[in-house]
Amino acid sequence: MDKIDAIVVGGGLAGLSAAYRLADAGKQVILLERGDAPGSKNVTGGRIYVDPIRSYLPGVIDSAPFERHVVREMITVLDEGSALQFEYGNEKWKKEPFMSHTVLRAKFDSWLADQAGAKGAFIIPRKKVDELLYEDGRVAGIRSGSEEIGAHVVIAADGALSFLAQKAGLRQPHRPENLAVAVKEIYQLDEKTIEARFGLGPGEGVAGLFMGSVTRGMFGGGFLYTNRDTISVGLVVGIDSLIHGAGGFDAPGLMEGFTGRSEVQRWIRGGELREYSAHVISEAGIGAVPKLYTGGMLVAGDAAGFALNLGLTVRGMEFAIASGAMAADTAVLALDGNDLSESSLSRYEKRLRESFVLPDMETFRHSREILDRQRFFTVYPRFMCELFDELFTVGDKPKEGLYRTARRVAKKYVLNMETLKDLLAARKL
Amino acid sequence: MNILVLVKQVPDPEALVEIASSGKDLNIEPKFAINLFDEFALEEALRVREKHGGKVKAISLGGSKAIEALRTAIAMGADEAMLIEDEAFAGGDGYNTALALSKALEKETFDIVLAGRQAIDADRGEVPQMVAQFLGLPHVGVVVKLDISDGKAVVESSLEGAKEVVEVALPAVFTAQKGLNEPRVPLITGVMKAMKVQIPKVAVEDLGLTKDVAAPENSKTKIVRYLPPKKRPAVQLIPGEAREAAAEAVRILIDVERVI
Amino acid sequence: MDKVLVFVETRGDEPRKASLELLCEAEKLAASGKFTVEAVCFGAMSDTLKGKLLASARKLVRFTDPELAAYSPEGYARALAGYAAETGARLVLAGATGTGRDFLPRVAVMLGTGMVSDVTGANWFDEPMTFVRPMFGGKVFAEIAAPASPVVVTARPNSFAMDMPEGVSGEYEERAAGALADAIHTRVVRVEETKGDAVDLTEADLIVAGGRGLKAAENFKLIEDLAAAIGGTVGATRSVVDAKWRDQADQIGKSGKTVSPKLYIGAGISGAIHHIMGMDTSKVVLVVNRDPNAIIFNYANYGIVGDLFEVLPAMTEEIGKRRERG
Repeated sequence: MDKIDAIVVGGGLAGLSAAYRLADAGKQVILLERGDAPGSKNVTGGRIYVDPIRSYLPGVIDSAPFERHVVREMITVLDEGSALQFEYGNEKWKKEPFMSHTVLRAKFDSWLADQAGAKGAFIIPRKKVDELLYEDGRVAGIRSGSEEIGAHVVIAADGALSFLAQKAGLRQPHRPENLAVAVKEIYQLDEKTIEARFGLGPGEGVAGLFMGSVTRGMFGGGFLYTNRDTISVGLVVGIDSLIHGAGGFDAPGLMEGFTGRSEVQRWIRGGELREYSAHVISEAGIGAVPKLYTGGMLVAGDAAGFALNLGLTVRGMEFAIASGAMAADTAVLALDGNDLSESSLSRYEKRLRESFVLPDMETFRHSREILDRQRFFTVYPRFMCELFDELFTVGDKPKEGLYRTARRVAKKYVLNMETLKDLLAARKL
Repeated sequence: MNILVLVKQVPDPEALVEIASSGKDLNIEPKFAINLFDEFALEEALRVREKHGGKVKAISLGGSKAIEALRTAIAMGADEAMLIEDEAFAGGDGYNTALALSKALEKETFDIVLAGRQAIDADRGEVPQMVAQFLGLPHVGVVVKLDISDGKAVVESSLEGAKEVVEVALPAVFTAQKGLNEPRVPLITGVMKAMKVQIPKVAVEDLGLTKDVAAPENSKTKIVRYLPPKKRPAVQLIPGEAREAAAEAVRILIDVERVI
Repeated sequence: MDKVLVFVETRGDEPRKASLELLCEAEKLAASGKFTVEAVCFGAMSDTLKGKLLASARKLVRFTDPELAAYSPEGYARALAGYAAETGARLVLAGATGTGRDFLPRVAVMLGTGMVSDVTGANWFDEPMTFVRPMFGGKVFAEIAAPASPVVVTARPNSFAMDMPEGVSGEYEERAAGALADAIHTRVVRVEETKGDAVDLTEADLIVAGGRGLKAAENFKLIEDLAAAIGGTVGATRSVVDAKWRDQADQIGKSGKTVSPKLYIGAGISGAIHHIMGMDTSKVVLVVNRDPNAIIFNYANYGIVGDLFEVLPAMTEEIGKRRERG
């Protein structure tokens, strides 16, 4: 069989950065994307940290179509009908080099696809990969519909449900508790309106997190990012919660409830809904990372389980870009040395260990199991809201002292064995 | 059977289109696609070729970006492509567009010209019929079925909803409507071929036209300004209990809006 | 005075609505004293039809050539362009129907002039004349100036008012274009009329659509009842179709049908963008939803914040009552 150098499967950030690096190294590479265009299948809310990825996309990252640089973090704890909101801002975030930017993935991914295309990669949308081809026990290409395309190396960057990693026997089918559903809406608003509403200077942005009853006590949270003239808002909800939760599998319903809350409405009101999307993401942590390579094949990005759930955010974009680039670099060396064996490609894992990717995944090894404790999303938000409610409510009865109030409310919610257990668990975070 | 297909590069159907503050330009999100109806035309051309042999050549008119639409045509299976390169045609009128295309077509030998029913950006639906007239050829519009035999075509057209079966001798021009076929997704190998192929470009001068044929001052019609669509006024909430609100709603629909 | 030709399409004994609208507009031009107007039609004509047209135009010219009995783009274009050239017409108008849009471009080329297709508005007295027409599927409109003469225009149905004054009584003339046989290269073999039973969603004037708020498939009865009461067609959202409560054919929205009825009533629909994209061109929109924050209220003329299970039956009943009262 005729072979090209490399086939990358999946046009998200991992796949695109792999295709970019391979083409940049002069390799013949095609990228196959299932959707209508690269990035068409993602819902990432959209914030990217620049430092971790700069070295993987040198030269080009500064021309990336960023929306706004984040100067403020906003956290909103929601109970039914009440909310507690706090913010953290840092003056140094307002100065270059900026730490993180909001991005719109459709724009960002199509930009990265253009960069890869300009380097000579073939980016081919609307192509679903059906099978892996093997030769001498090694992956040697793919079959898509009626076509068989041979390649010396295949990079699977086909997302959280990675069918290729499973096909290649690198990992077991996912368990529902390892997956979450992300739902996102994008509202258009005038640039100036956004800046006035959030109290931002030109080009400055906010990253917002929501937790508590927004998700009807389910595992997950809400996010909000200000883009240049749009606002992305969304929810991340565990699939097992969705299946077993009281509301049934009703992601649109949850989203409706969320965007209907006045604490969300105040930011998006008057905005015109531009986009709605929903997608499965991985949030299993390092425990769900599959074997990352086999002869003729590497796995990168969400497909490799490279996403970190830190309770309030799911971080995946930097992991995707970095792992895609490292998979490509490993492949380039292997192609140059004409050795695509499993042992040659095992250098990929070594690279990942020497980067931030695997160490970060390791550090937060237990985050998911800890955050899976329901009380973090039900009892504690309610405790916080009720405490403030009691502190700020003035009625016709005499008001008790602050300490007594605090103790009474705390006793109701958090002065118990369950909290102690949660605390003990949280030490692993 | 030589088949020419007229294709146009248009903004992606989902691209944002906004009127610039001057009112004289549009800000269009830079996402492009081959015109939906032209894909039906291309697919039909490929099917005719598969059945009767011959060659399919795709021709486009537009800026250098239009080369991408032609690459899509090659990826789908067109044998050749040609771009009449002139940025000015992006805002050109139907008459001059058709004139330039017909000049290009005069230099070709062909039996069939296929084009989309209309482009989804300008929505004019004028050019293929005008090309036919410039060339002195018959045309059948809004085609949903095309059968070729013995130097003639038997065509189903759904001009007015009802289906009309029309017979025409070749050469002739046909405009493709949705329903004509299901366009193929290009093969991976097709895309790779298309990316590498050199697509010849010609200028309007090469067609015997003056350089600024598409300039506004030489156009029969020109766009003065753009206007936003009428906006729906803010929602009027009908107050009251369910029965009361329902009765009021019915009154409004019957007496005020007069829609039922 | 400038000559205006209005191409009149007919079906049996009826002129088509788009043609009549243009005749009404043309009558205003004639009344201004700046233009003279002639209606031009081809093919057979009954006395009934003739009567109707003579009450709608100051002059009616019918071409009697047998080749014009059936539509052919070449024949129609040759006859109309020939007459326009002969009379030195300043303006050639036709409805933007399938037929009008099909052959008027050929007329424009024959006359060596440009055309403006599918206009929704016109400033006939501007110099040069200007027109408004939709682009990008109605996302924007463009104002087009037409400095060349004559100007060939097709006008979108429902764009000009049907307000023909009483007392118009035109003169009638028959002519022959001649030598058409050699000019026509297409031949209509047969015409298959499409079935005319239930009104399809895309063509419906009145639509009642339901969403997830109906809670169960059987509750669509409420939607069906209201639709029946007003003589409308039932529509549905994607989630309802996904839940198999309704057939795919009922789906309104991006992956379903785009509708633009005179009246759209939506109940229990939150207003996902995909649905909005399919119904936002409806003329009058009334929505019923329990949630005052439902996004669909942003796209409605009238809203009822309330329980659809009470509001819909009450509306159905009220319409029944109004009908009884006549």
